[in-house]
Amino acid sequence: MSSAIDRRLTLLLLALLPVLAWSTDNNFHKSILVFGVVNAISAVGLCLMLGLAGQISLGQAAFFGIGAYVTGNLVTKLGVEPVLAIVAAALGAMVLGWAISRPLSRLHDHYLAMATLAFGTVMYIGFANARDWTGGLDPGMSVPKFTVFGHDTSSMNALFVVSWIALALAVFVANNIFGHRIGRTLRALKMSSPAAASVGIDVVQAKAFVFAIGALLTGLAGGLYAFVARSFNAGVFGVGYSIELLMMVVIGSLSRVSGAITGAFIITVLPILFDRFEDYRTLVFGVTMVLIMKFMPTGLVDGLFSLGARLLPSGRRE
Amino acid sequence: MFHLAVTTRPYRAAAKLAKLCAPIAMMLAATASHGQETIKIGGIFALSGPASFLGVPEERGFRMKIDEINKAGGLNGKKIEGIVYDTEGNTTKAAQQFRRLAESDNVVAIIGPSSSGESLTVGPIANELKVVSVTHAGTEKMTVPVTPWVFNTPPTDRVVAAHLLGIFKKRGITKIGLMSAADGFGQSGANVVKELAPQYGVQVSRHEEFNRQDADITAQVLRVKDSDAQAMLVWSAFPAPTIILKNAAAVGFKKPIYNSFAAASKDLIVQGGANAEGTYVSSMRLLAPETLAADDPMRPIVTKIYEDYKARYKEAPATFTAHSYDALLIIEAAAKKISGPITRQSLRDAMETVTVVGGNGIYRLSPKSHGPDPESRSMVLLVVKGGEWKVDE
Repeated sequence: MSSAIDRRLTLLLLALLPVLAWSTDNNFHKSILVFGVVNAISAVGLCLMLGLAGQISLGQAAFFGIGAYVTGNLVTKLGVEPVLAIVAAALGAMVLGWAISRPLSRLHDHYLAMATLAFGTVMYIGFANARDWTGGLDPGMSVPKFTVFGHDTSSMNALFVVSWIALALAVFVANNIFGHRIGRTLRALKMSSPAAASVGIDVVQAKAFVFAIGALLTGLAGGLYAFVARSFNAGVFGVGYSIELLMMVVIGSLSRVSGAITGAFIITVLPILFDRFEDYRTLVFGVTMVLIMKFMPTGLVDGLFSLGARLLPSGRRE
Repeated sequence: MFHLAVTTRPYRAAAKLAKLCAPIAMMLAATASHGQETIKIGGIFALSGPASFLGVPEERGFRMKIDEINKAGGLNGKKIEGIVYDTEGNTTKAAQQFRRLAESDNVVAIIGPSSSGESLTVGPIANELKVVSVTHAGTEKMTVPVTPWVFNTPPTDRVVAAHLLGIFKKRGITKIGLMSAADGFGQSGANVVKELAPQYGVQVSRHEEFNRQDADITAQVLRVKDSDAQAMLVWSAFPAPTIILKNAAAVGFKKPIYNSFAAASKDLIVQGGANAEGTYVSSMRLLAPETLAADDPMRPIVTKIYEDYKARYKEAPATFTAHSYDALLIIEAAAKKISGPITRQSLRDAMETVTVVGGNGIYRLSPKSHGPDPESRSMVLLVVKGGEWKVDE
């Protein structure tokens, strides 16, 4: 399917979010939207890595954690302007992503999954024990209210606007990568890295690039998370979050930015809706995920497209 | 989203998805319809995940006490509607569910969450949204310093540490080997023990850490054995305390082993078997009500919780049941002092004036104290003798 449709769908989703945010006065609903937007930024990062370049990462929570802790420390210990702290944290995560991609560049598939899983686990243990910097698992870290040049912007509405702008930036970056030469390079890498190398693509550099971008976006999300949650402990940055991100990308659509955003909202909102099932909540959630994967193996967005194509009598297929 | 696309034609996949959606809609409708003339009280507990050993007994205590109050006519004539959500022990989820109870369900008070980390997360939100919050944190940071809207029912690690260090002082133990779990509970406990120890003339001559789920902790036990410690103090939730007992027996560690309140459970005896013999634990009274002294002021209420729980759930309660039970006891006592409608503000103001004898000890609440204090007599030292808990003070 063409990327033009994906781009339009992504813009539609982006436009829909503020409408949703302003249609409710309920701060709980708004906070869910804000968490959804933060997760969507992370998911767009992983979508580039896994969906576009075929580089699986089960260690994204580490970049998310770096984003949150660097932001928190810069703001609380050095009094850095919050927005600058988030930018610095995202860049810090990017450098880390670039650095770890070098030793991992020879690995692929399961081996890459295992290595990134190990990286995520090591970083989690680091977060839990570097108590001077992170507060460990208890008491964790507390971050002051979010301000922009001294103005209090800690209300849910303001946080929504800030995270929405960050998501729009992430989408802009992702769309540009998808549509340009580097996107085609990464797609070639996904199909076969020896073949890509044979036509003159610098495979190591391309992998480092996509790891760095993925880490940058996830780090950005982590920085925002610090101000949305205000208080958090290392438990948030365990392997669980990496797996959740993977689910978001896979459930939505592996090959689309719009899929990553859709998936992020499904994985953020669905468990809360399913709370009504009480004891059966986890079961219902699991069965839903299995059904989506069984009947829409390429993700919900692709699945709905093909379902729509089958339902339309004239068969306006892509 | 998939509603629209799906219902037009009966594809098998579509039909299954639609079936799945129907109960969601029904559930949403059902919860929206009931609930006039009730007082809503919310509970957020770690009903699943690593902290569920805390959350499950807390939720049961919550339901049990609400049913009891409702049977007796409710709070000032109004029935309580209890709404419970699961936090999975995750700080992000705890914050979300807390906001949900406060802003979507409009409860007057929120009881829980179960762990210290989650409680520390919701504390600032409670003060921001001005909703009564009775957390179940083991860390004193919840109520030191006191903030207007946050109360806490479990004895803090400071209370437990002071209790155990007081016993060490009384028994002439001046050097201890501290063993703590490398998690929130262990980190917080170890910090408090190290801070308070000098006041009791006790020296931590060795401090070892381990992971709560470790299958073997022999290395750390040996290091404590080789030190000059006169006793070992273990600060961890299960299963580590039983592993340590097993490892200590295997390497011939003969000195006394003391445990924090997290090991105060019949599991220590069941899993530890013969190795548990002679082990001490600083416990809340609910573990062994029948061994309490006849004149113990908490004995009647502790016995009542124990027996009600056993009748309803067919098993002995974990001590954590009293955390949520006591929270509702405090709310019940406060409601009796309110003449007008029960609102968040009137409830909060009344809660600061009550003195309540609960399962966790005596709460003397005031604008300066929002939880148990070292004089609450929350803890009692138990020892395993002949496969049973016995009071040893």
